[in-house]
Amino acid sequence: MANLVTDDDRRTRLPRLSPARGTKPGWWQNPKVMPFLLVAPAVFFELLVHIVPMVAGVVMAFYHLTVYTIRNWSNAPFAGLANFRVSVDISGPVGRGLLDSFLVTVPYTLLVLAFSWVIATAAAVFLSVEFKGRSLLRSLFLLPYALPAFVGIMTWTFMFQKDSGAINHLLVDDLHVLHSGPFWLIGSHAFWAMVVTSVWKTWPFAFIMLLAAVQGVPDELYEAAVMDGAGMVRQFWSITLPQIRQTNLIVVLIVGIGTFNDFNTPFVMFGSAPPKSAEPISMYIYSNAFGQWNFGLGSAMSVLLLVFLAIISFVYLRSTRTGTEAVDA
Amino acid sequence: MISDKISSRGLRRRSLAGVTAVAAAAVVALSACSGGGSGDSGPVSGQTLTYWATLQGTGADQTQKTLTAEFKKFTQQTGVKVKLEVIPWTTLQTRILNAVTSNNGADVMEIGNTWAPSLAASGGFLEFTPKVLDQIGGQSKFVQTSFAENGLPNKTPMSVPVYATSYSLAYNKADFAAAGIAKPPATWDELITDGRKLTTAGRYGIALDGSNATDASHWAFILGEQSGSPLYNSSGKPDFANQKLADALTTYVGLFGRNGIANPANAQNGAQPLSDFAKNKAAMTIGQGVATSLTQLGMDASQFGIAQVPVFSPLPAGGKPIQSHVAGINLVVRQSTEHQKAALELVKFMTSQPEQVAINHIYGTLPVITSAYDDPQFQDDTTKVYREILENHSAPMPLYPSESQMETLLGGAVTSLIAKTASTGTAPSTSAIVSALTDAQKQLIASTGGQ
Repeated sequence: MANLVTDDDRRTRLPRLSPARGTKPGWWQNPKVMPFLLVAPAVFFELLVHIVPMVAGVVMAFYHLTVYTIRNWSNAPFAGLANFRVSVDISGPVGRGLLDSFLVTVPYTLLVLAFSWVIATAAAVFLSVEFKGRSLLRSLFLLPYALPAFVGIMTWTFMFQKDSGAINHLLVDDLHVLHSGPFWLIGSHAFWAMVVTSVWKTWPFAFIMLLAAVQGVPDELYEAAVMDGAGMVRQFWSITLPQIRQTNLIVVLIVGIGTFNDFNTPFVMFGSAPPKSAEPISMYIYSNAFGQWNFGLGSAMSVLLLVFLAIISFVYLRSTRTGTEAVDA
Repeated sequence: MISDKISSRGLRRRSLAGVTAVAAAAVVALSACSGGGSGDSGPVSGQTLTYWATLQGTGADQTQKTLTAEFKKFTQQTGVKVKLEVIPWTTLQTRILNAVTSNNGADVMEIGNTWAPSLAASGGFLEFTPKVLDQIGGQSKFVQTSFAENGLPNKTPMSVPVYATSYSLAYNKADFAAAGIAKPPATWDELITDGRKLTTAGRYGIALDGSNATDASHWAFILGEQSGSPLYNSSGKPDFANQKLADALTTYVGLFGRNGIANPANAQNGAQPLSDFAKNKAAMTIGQGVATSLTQLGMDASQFGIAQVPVFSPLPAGGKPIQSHVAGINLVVRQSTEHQKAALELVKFMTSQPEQVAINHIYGTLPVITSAYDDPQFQDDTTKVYREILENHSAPMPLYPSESQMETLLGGAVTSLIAKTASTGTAPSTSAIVSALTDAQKQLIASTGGQ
């Protein structure tokens, strides 16, 4: 190849890349400034996309922002803590509803989290060993994650239909477990239908994260354990689990918060008027804000939810960090 | 479908983020505030309008095709171009509210007409004063029942009707003949008696969507009118937590019970009453604009009859023979549009005789102007029944700002009563119904301030 840098280039381009010797470097080249300049665009968009709406949401919580005031929203009357008072007043209908939905959300989150984690961990451990057809199974397990949530949830809704659904067909006609098919989409059973659907769509995410972690565990540890006579179960408890602990902590936090805020599952399964047993807090907030056009009240509830989740996350991270992390932090 | 089924089928990602979305729109709007253009008097030719259409006929494709063809005529006549967007029911209400908040969005929008009072309360839409109405051909051209649902009571209208429909009863002619029933039921007692006769293995008397809160609120309204217990009192306060309405609702809710005539499975989300009827899994169904949907589902128009919705007999004290709310779609013009004159031209065009005939015929809806009914396409028996119900047995849903919130809360209460009936086999006691209605009413008052 010929000389790639021509004389022209030397004259016009090089001086811009590195200032001529002897001239003072620009202030932007200061190592204390440059990194901030480089991340500035990202910070700007982060603020625009996440922080500004969040702050706006918090501000809205202090105003009577309803259908009457939304058009001239800058003049909406200040509400002080009124929206919060209504939200936490459990003797009133709105606060009572919020508490009820909270009491649905907590067991929902714990159950989905527990089942998803157990299935995901089992699958990750199982698939970390080489065998024929492993990649096929891996793709298959990821399918619920790749599928648009709407499609998967809709399919489950069809399967849970009383007369025509696959679940009742299986339970009544094939396995004869039940005498007659119960309702799954109304009444108290709706809660379990929602949990099953949610576990189905949630565990593949935990699976991918944990699979990566499990595969990262050095083989020597297992080899040494085998030499010491440790069985499969002991290997799992004493090697795999401690080794993937960091990933586990993150998975539990992400899946937990995601499930706590889950809106897709109940909304697609039950529409805008879900059974009481399957109305988690996100649906309740939605119906207050968008069903009843009371955005101030909806925001106040969202802020309460945010505060609750922030406290939980803080306590969780605090209580689970290890010695080295504590030093790092 | 024309009914305002905002609740049904659709995915919206709204939780924390959703609540803040409006705020985000509001923030963005700071810079986008337009001055509002009431006084544009120049020629409209060359302007471009944005039009938001609701899903009609067989769906988005048909809506898009129909309106594109019609708007071409409008452009030829006026020189105004129209940018069309068909908006799914699930997002329409939010889109409209965002348009109101940001003074941005379509110039002309279709809305579910029952939203008119709530949207009117926001004040974001052009008022149809007598002078404005003259610009679109005057109030007198409209079917007056359809025109009645136009905003807040005793206030200047903020919307005008464009397509109309009503509830009606469809019955399977062969099933009725086989059961020896000569004519469709005219009262609720007859409906239940006939329904029992028609219920056989694999076929129920009637198919209804018991899971849809919007539909349920319509039923509460219709039965309330029939039993002399309107949902709002004369001073505009919600007033539906009473024995009279509970009694009336027992009739409807009981249809889904063990001794009822509807399939209890219809109480689940995903119920498809029209498809059940078309497959002859039910001998009757009651819904909005059912005839067109049934032919689209593959039934021949000769296989089913369309009749009026049953009423109580005798009517309880104060009851009226109301069979439907004034159902339909209205047009609104955004207050801050810069093309008000062109927008009103478009409203005039959409409510003109040729367009009313052409579009409503394709959609299977009813014209909202009286002169369109002279057209031979609207002379069949089905249209006559619809028209009779619409003109003489319909009343607008309550014209109060909290109407749409009422639909959600009262409708939700009724669907859970239906769910209870379906799963336990018996309708809840009247006192249990009153208590469910009381909860819904308390919540409505708490979250709307009782306005």
